[in-house]
Amino acid sequence: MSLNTEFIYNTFFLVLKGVPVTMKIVGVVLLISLFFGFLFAVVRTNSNGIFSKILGVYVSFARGTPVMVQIYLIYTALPTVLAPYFKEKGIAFDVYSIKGMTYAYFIFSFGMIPVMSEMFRGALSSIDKGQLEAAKAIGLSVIQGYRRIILPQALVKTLPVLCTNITGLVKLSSLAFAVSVFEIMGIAKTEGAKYTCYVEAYLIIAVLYVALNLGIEVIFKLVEKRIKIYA
Amino acid sequence: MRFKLSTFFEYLVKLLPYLKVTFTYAGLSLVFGIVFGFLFAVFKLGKSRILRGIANVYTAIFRSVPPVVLLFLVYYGIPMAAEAITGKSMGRKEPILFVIITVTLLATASLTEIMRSAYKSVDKGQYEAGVSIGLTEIQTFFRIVFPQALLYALPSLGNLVIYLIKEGSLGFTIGLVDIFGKANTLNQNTYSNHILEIYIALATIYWVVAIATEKLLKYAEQKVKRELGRA
Repeated sequence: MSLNTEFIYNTFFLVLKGVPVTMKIVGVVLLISLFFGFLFAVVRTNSNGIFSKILGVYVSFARGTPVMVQIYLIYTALPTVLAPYFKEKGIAFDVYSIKGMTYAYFIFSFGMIPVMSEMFRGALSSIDKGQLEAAKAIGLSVIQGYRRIILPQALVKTLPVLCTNITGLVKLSSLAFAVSVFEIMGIAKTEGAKYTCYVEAYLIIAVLYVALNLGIEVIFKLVEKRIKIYA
Repeated sequence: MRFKLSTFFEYLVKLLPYLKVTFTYAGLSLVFGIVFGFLFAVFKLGKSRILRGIANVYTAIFRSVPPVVLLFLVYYGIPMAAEAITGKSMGRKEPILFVIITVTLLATASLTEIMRSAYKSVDKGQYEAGVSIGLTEIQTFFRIVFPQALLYALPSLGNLVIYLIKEGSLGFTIGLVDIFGKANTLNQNTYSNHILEIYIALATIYWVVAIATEKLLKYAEQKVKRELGRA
């Protein structure tokens, strides 16, 4: 077995250019999923209404189906249905002008929101309800109580899970090639096919992804150590 | 183009037989994963520094690498390595083989962690109590420690099975004809005329399997609880 070292050397630097794209996907999806995940978690812990039930169905679907199936549904199937529909109704919107990156943000957020929501739900329910009542009793509003009393405690508890979820998101972003986004995986796939150096190409990015995720884990370990004093 | 319920059911029925392939790779990977995962969990809990190191490196790598990258690496790398070692070409005619290897590698990493934390969840006093009333070490493990550890591990086990099915669904990218692969073929054969019905049928099958798996594991949990007299 001989690996093409020249290819490895050249492609490594090419693949590195995909890292910012991966980071961008991870960053944007992280912000979206944290925001909605928290919102959904608060709704689901505090109510049992119809909205909460609908969220439950969404969570079950997003977690129960493979991301690739979601990509095929939203990226491949949906536009072929929407385009003729818009034409028929006279809506001047070209579905095919939506960028791959937009699909990546949307589809990965769709999958990550339930994961983040479960994380917050676990953290929120682990904090005694008496704490919020106590906050109210001393004259804080509900929002103040959440912000000053509940959230700091909940955040410390979410950190290890958040770390797992972010590394999960980094792994998830490798499917962006399926919506024609050229991040780490997309570049490696193209280069590997161009020079028929598949093993080398995937070996490089496997190492890169492992390094990225281990780096994230190390950062979280450091943060956890510093923040533990608040727990 | 409109969504037609009759067409949806027609494809649902056409896809269902291929679920056999999905269950085959998920089932086999789970069994292999339990065997290797048990081995690595023993390494991690054991006294040998070298074995502990090996297990730690293994789980660190295989929990950090994206499944799709691993699948391609296995698909291209293993025949290359096999040819270098044996001098004979093994070919890539059986995609399911590579899917099983990939999913087993992933399952092993997860199961190592699941089994390790399940074992640790059982209080040491339980073991000591078992031995002190005259049970042998093996009897104590199987009658006292194992059932309690199993109860602890069951929820994670359910999530794992869903995870294995979802990650293995990437098999179509290397030519595996499971429900996903079959859905793609059906879509191509009908020139994407029934694209929405086909992929909604596909998503439905995955979703139902995930829900059924969850229900089954909940039932198993109740059963173990009753056996332990904790219900």
